[in-house]
Parts: sequence; structure tokens; C-alpha cells
Amino acid sequence: MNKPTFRIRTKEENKLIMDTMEADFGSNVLVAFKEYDFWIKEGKVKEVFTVPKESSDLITKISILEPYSAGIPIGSILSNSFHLEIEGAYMISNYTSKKITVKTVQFLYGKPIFKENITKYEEDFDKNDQIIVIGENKLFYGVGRAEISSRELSSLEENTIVIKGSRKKPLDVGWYLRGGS
Amino acid sequence: MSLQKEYDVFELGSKLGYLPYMIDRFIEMLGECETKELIKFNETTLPQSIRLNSLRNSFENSERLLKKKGIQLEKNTEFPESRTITKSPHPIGATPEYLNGFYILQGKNSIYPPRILDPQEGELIGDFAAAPGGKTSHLAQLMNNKGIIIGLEISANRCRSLKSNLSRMGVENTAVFKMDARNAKDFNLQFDKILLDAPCSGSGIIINDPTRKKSKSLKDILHYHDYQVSLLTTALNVLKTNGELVYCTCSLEPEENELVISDILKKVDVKLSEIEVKGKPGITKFLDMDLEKNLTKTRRLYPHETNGEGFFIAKLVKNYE
Ligand SMILES: C[S@@+](CC[C@H](N)C(=O)[O-])C[C@H]1O[C@@H](n2cnc3c(N)ncnc32)[C@H](O)[C@@H]1O
Repeated sequence: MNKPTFRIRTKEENKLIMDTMEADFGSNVLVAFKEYDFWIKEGKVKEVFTVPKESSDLITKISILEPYSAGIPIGSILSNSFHLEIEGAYMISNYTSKKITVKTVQFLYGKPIFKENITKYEEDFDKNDQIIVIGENKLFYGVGRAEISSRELSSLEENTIVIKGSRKKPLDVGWYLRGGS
Repeated sequence: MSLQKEYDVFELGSKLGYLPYMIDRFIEMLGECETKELIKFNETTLPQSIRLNSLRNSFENSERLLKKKGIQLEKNTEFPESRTITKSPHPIGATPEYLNGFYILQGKNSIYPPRILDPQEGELIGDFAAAPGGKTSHLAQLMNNKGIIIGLEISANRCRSLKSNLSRMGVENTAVFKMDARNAKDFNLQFDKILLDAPCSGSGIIINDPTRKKSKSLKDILHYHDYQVSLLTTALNVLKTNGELVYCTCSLEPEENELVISDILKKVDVKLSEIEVKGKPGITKFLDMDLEKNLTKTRRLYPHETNGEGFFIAKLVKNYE
């Protein structure tokens, strides 16, 4: 029998997803996934979906047909590490203070965030930390990785990149306009 | 072209690029005078409309943010989620608010089918022609993301846009299956309610797609008829007894609308329900055909009458096991 390509996560995958989010954003964020099961769509990468328990039970029951997608895609697993993507970041954004606020929409075009674009950060961050990016009017923009630590911010010159943008990855909501899916 | 000069309706139709058979049929449905109104109206542009998404933000907040950007909105139907854009300095499909899923661009009349289906939290809903997901996400919003929607879509490409729209709109309670809805019995499920927004020839949306004036023949319409009857037959078979189904198309052709319902009424034990939508009642006489009188319970929304896209809507209740 063929291995299903859309299946419920293994215990190990569950641990990997939860541990990564906890390490990156703090244990509060796990609350966001309390009423959900993670499902995996196998492919070049493993796509991770968060599915409300009620839907999850039903999909399990109708195992003869395989969903194309279910619930919300929150990230992917590649080489045994979990990468949070747009909607996963959206779901946790209210449960973490690993956030910066920016005054530019450039990040939505896959462009970087420079030092001078940042108006506020809620918590100190280190180089390589994952950070939620919030725009004007508290609108969610996406998630990115810090290129420098917050302690360096004051001493660095303008035009220093704090978070790289990505045109190719589903990390910012502009992805929906770039034809991402 | 100036439409001021009083052309004969056929002359006007031909000047505007319609195949003659279409004008014949519009006259049969509407009479000459209203046919002129319809085809003249099809040369105009519909105001843009949006549906605010309560799964992502309150209507008040979204409205406040859009106003702040200089986007002017008007409440335009009996439903609190619907707005017409009266002025916008920005492309409305590219704002950060749009990208956050606070609203979706959708034709004004598209609000009706999900509202008429009236899905409830906790129900099992089928959306049997789901992409790109305007109506799926509306159903999810009406259900407060509770219960389950099974969305079926045959095209892989359109499944991609469906998935993307559902994520952007924060829809959690939906599972999408890339499949032919005519195989829905494989689920072995009985749905509480089903929406069938059927694939159709699109003659109600010439205002958005003028190529439709020439792109479909009568043969195509008859082909759609058979396809729609088979989709609807399957859908009814997987509906619970007493379950409700809303059938709609954006076509004005009786073969895709009243005649589909008429075929079904002859074949299976279903009842047409009254629906509360302004619009013309379904047609019961067309060419040499005399159809069931209760087809007047269905509704036809014409562009020129509603200032929106053309729609046909029917609601059926299943009586058999
Ligand atoms: C009118 S559109 C649906 C629009 C959608 N309900 C919305 O509101 O965004 C019809 C859709 O049905 C799909 N379709 C056509 N035949 C189908 C079939 N046999 N099973 C499932 N989907 C089908 C088409 O690919 C198309 O996406």
C-alpha cells in the first residue's frame, strides 16, 4: 500500500514542532495550538498544517480519501528542522513578545528591514533569533531571522540590515500577492 | 461606442459583439426592452465590493483602518459583512489589510448563496465547487470556524488558490480535497448542508468577462446542463434527509438553472424552498417548454436590476433517505 501523503504527525514531529516554537518564541505560544492536531503533507518538504480536533477526527475517519490541505498551513519540516511560515507566525503573534514594529512596507515585497525602519521592539533579541514583524496599525507582516542582536542596534549605522526579506519563502503576507501557494 | 443612438436590439447586440443566438435568448427571458437594458448595462463597470472577514478582525476595526487609508465604503445589502467601495486611492487587492485577511474582494451578489444556505456552528457542510474559495471562506465565517467544511475542487491549479485564500482569511474548519465532486459518495458521509456553486457558462458575468459574448455555443450550454445535473444528483445523494442544498450559477441560461432543477424535481424527492432575495422569480416558460410552477421559488439576479453580477439561486430540501 502507498504511504499516505497527508497524514497525522508522528510523536517525534509533534515534539520537533512544539520544541522549536517554544525555543524561538517562549512557552506561551503553545497555547495557540491547544485545540489542534498537526498534520503533515509529504512532498519535497513536509508541509505542516494545524487542524482543529473536530476536523482532525473526521479526516482520520475518511482515510480512504486524502485531503489536499486542511486547517491552516503553519510551516514546514526540512532536514529535521521545523520552519515557521506566515500563518503559523500569525497564530502565535499575540502570545509572544519576540516582535518588532516597523514603519516600512518593504518587507511585504521580500525586501530587508533596515535599522532605521524599526520603531519598537518588545524584547531584546539575539542574532539568529526568529522575530515577528508588525507594521503600521499593528498589522501583522510576517516573520524573519535577526541578522544582528538588539544590543548592537544603537551602535550600528543606518542601512544595516536587521532582518533579511525573502521573495521566495512564505515568510511575509506579501507572499499572497507574489502568487505564493 | 456611444449607446445613445436608438438601435434595434439585434443591431445593438451585434454592435456590442454578441452572438445572435444569445440576444434571441435574452429576449425570450426578458423581452426586447429589458434585453437592451441588460446588454447596455454589461458595457459598464460594476462598483468594487468586498466582504469583511470577522474571522480576522471586527467589522468596525477593519472599516476604521480602511477609512484611515482614504478608502470609502458603503453598506449595501441586508448583510453586515458586505460593503461597496465608493472611493479608493489604493488598489484594494493589495493593502496590508487585505493581506491580513480582513476582507476579500467579491461580487456583491456572491454574498447570497452562503447566507441562504445559513450554515451553523457544528454542522458538516459540503462546498462542492469550492475554488477560489470566496464562498467557502464566507461559510467558515458564518460558522465562526466551528464545525467542518469539506471543500471539493477538481482543478489542481485552483486548489492552490483555494488553499492560499483560505489561509489568508484564517479559515481553520475546512479540509480541501482535489477531486471530482461526482465521486463524493466515496466519503461515506452525510452532509447537513451543501453548497453547489456549479461550473457554468458564465453569461451572468459578461460585465466582468466580455469574451463570453462569443465564447460559448448553445451546445456548450447543453453540455453544462448535463454536467450540472450529474453534480447536483450526487450532491443530493450525500445530503442528509431533510438536509438543505443551495444550487447557484453565474449563468442566465435556463438550461443551466431552472431546467437543471426541473430535471432533479422529476428524478428525486426534493422540495424547493422559498428564498428571500430580491430579484426575479425563476422562469417557468422558455421557448416551447412549460416548467413546474414552483420554479418561481428560485431567483434570478440580473446585473442591470441588481447592479451586481448575474446569478441564479435555488434552495432544495431533500425528502428521501
Ligand atoms: C463557479 S466556480 C466556484 C466558485 C467558488 N464557489 C467561489 O465562490 O469562489 C466552479 C468551480 O468548480 C470547479 N469544478 C468543475 N467541475 C468540478 C467537479 N466535477 N468537481 C469539483 N469541482 C469542479 C471548477 O474548477 C471551478 O473552480
